[in-house]
Amino acid sequence: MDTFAFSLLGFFVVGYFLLAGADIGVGMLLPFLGHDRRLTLAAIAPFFLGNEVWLVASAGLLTALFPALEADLFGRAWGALIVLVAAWILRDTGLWLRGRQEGRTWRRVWDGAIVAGSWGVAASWGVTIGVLMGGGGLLFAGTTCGLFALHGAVFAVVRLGTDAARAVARWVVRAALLAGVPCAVGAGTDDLGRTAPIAAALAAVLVGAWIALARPGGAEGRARDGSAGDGWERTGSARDGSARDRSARDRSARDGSARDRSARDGRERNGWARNGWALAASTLAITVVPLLGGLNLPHVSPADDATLTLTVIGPLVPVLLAAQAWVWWLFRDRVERPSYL
Amino acid sequence: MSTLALARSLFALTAGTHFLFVALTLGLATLVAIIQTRAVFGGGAVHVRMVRFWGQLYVINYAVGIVTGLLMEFQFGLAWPGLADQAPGVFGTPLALETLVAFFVEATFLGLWIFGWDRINRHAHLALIWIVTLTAYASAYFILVANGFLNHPVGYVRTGGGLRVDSAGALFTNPAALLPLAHVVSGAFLTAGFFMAGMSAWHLLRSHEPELYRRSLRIGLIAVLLGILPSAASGGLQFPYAPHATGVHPLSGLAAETMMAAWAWMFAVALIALVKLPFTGWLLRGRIFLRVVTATLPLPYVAMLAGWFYRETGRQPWLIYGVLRTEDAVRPIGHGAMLAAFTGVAVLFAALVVVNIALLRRYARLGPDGAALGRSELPARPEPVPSF
Repeated sequence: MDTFAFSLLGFFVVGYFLLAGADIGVGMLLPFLGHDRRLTLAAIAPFFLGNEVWLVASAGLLTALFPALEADLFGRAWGALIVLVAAWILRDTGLWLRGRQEGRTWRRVWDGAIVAGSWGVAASWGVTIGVLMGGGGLLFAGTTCGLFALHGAVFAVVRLGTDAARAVARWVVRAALLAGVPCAVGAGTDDLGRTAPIAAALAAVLVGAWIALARPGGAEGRARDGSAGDGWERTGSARDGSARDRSARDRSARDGSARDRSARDGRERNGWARNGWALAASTLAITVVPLLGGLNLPHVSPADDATLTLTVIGPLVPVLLAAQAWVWWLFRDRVERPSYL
Repeated sequence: MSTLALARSLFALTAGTHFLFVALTLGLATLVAIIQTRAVFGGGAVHVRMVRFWGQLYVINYAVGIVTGLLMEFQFGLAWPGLADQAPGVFGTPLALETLVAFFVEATFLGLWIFGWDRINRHAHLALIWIVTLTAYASAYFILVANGFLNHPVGYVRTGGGLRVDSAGALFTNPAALLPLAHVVSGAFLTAGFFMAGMSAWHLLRSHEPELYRRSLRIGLIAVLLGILPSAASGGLQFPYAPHATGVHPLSGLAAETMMAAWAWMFAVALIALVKLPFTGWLLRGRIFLRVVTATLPLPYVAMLAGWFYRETGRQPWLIYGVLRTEDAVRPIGHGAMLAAFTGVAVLFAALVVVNIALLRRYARLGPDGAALGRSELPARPEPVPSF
């Protein structure tokens, strides 16, 4: 039962960072990901509400299953956590309100709230975990900001498929590697035996992300394909590709060159695989955040009454996951037009 | 003000704001679900427009409920560590169940309902709003189990390390949870009923879309009729289970009187509505009655807030009545830090409430054509915002 309690809490915490990390990262990079910010926000719109509840669930589980851990966490990182909640509220308010009224000032105010709130959430996670690591709170904020931003940028590459997103992702992966990794080492000097291997693994994963984000097909492929060269296309899906991709394909079909076409299809598959690898890498990279947090918490036993919560929630977990999977399946397509936000 | 008083005020501010918006969420979700059911089974275009119009207002209102709820959940850990320390099982279990059994499902499906409007089969889309509604009720139930324990602790046993659950059955069927649930749900019907009827009356007075607003007015008034008597009955029945130490707070008696006066007024309006409802022509011709219904729109809020104040001040100076003192549960932090937190939250929430009321008003006035919710083709024009 103890193992189940730990696994359940760990599952929801890690799930939060993997899923919400992407929409928080997109919020951080909102000004850079494209001219049409409503389109950029449409990339995360269907997910952000369903993502943030993973953290709400984690907090509920923490109270019921591990009150001693909650006392330790909130006791040590009180200040950072209150900033976290404030930034979270600011960000959510911005997301919900931005699209509800026309007007330049209105949009700018809530864009500001989304961007500042997203950075605030990423940074206060860094400070929280930095405090748990025994100092260097602000230093680890450098790492979390880099990793959240990277995860968001890669998510934007996958969902929007624009060159702007890809260019941003390439910048961010460099920053995460060159600044984020040293920050993590600096924050974890208290226990380098634990921090150093994790930081090394993080560096390796980030190098992987960098390679995956490199320009597909090189400069030549880009020049030939124009803006469609980022190549996210689901061959075999009824709703695949955007109109732009289709027109590009029509053009190449009219060219009549079978060799050109097969070379292009190969590049598309290649681009799709690269995006997949980049997303896998940024996902893996952001797990370092909850991992370092968890490793630096004291060992405690679950509360006496934990069984009651576990008995009710255990059988429900597959249902919760199925509901979440439905959301991700329904909105798996690339974003083509603004949504409700 | 002492640090304890500040911490209490901060929680009161959070919970009070949350409660006001959640009351409408609970009632309006039900009414939207009923209208959408009608729209799917044999309804016409007018029902679809009604779903989008009232659904839009529901979603705007929902956002405030979420963000205030976030702060409330985290406030237990941030400001009241004594609660989790002393009563992790009895208080923590209903909270954990609320987050996973209710809110997790509610938020996931609400996202699908909002963003999947034209992507989901209409029967599945209807199922979504019903799941959202039912989980909202489940949410209210679990929160009231936690709250009921504070007012009327049952099903626990004292051990060396704090309180343990002795009888889960007693904890989850606490009359101090079930009766307030009935009270809150009937109050939510009054809130949503007067919200819908009041806004419809406003439009009817201006001859906007008579069919849509006539139907909405009737639904709103029926919700009021369903809520008015149960709200008084469930309110009266819970007196034996709540530590109503009137006089503990100087404003406690005033709060109770305000609630009852507001109820008496709503009861009078409901009586007239009962007489008028069978006669549609008479209902629509009565301009004075329509004005009265519109003017009554804020009264359920007043009653809700006053009732909540009366109930929750009654148990002081106890956090868990007779078990844990409020002063023993608060986090011992500096006065300055607590003052900063209180001021920050107060300013943020004030802004949030003002902006959201303005938005609700704006979208209510715009009518169904102004609703962005469920609009199938949003304009894909780029905004004139500079990108850096």
